[in-house]
Amino acid sequence: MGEAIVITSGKGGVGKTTTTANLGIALALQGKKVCLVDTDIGLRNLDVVLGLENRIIYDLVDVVEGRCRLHQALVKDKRVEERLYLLPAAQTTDKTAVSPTQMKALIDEIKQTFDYVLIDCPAGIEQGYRNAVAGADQAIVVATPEISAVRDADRIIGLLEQEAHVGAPKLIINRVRHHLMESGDTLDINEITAHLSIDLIGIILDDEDVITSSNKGEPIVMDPNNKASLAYRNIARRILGESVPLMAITEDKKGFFTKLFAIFSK
Amino acid sequence: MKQVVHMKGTKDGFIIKLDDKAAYQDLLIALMELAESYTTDRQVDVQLHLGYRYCSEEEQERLVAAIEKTNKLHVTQINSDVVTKQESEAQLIKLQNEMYVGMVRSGQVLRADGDVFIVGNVNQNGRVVAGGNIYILGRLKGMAYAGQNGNEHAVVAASYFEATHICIGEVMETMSNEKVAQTGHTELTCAHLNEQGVIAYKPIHELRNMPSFFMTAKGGN
Repeated sequence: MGEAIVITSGKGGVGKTTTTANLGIALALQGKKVCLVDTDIGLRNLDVVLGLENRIIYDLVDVVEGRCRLHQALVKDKRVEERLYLLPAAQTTDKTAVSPTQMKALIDEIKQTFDYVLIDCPAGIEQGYRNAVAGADQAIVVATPEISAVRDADRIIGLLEQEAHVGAPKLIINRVRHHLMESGDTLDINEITAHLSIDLIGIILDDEDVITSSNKGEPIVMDPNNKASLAYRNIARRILGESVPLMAITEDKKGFFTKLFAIFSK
Repeated sequence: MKQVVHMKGTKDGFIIKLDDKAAYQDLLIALMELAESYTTDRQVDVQLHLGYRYCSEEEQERLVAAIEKTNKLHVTQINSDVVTKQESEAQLIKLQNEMYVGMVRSGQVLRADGDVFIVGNVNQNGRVVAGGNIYILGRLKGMAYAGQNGNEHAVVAASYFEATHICIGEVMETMSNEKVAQTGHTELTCAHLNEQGVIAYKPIHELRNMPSFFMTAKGGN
């Protein structure tokens, strides 16, 4: 019997889908059998980020409405052999096509054959959110160091704390820009954790490669030499119960000679 | 017949005690007889003790009228050993002191009939609504509505007073930038209504000198 983790944020555009894709692959790379569930019915993206868009035949709504069996709808990701699957959302309908009760039954069914079920939650606190949370055992809240994202995270944490079946939510701070934090132009890590007062499970530095890799359908976590990738892998290890220290948020300061060398080597 | 009305002289004056088991009509008659038998020139002040008998206000008035019929006795005070459920509940609510351990997050509303004591932060857009006072051991960054049962002496006190809205009784104040600057520091501050009916801020240790500060709390003046 696996564990279902919902990845949510309240606010849109903070990186829920990217986080779901990367954490899913990271967990699969650790040898776990993982199923990613996209609950953003009507606005599905997780398949695109994973590069599995053109392999979808059936979707979540087809399964719930009994038009196909669960295993028919699951899309296998061949990069992580036999360990990573995606249950895509439907695109032709909307969030009201599924009820929280149906969702819970579906997630419970998936949990039977997987170690981890990661549920990608849509933005907002309406039906889509309720569907996504219905089957979850644990919750991860993604926030960026912006006041608007932190406020929304606070709201969503309040809602999650009222769900008896969901464990204490954990926090990922995404898109941390070192120089802005250093200059005090954004909230720093301590301010955010003190404000939200939940456990921090990881910090991900802002990196353009995350965006370019998502656009290519190859999540950044596949690249072992990237800092954001390492951060995702560390979060996966923390989910598995290892205690991994947080990465230092420092940029590699380039010395004068390095810069000089860089100019000549162009 | 058994005597149903007793009159006693104490150092505080005369006390008329009523027998708990006697019928109300008998009491009225006995009181009138007592009043008539009492013949002095000057008027005497008496206290009326009802004992464990419950009398409605109208019944009390008739008892007093019976005693004061001859204008020789004057009732200064009525004591009773019983309170109604309603009175007792109202009293309970007034003295109620709820404790809440946890955060009040954005979008959440914490309601209390009496006083509320919060261990934790009240975040932005989180709201505390209390019939009485609000004390926060933590940061108040959201909204605090105190004295919502009409108590204008209610106070809001917090370890860190960084609220966006404060409401005491019916007076509401939004904290604009200037006002926060006015108070200077936010640590250990409390808000109350001053004599002009305007919300004012004071260091928390002055709470004990406020007229508001109730007799229920130990150390209050």
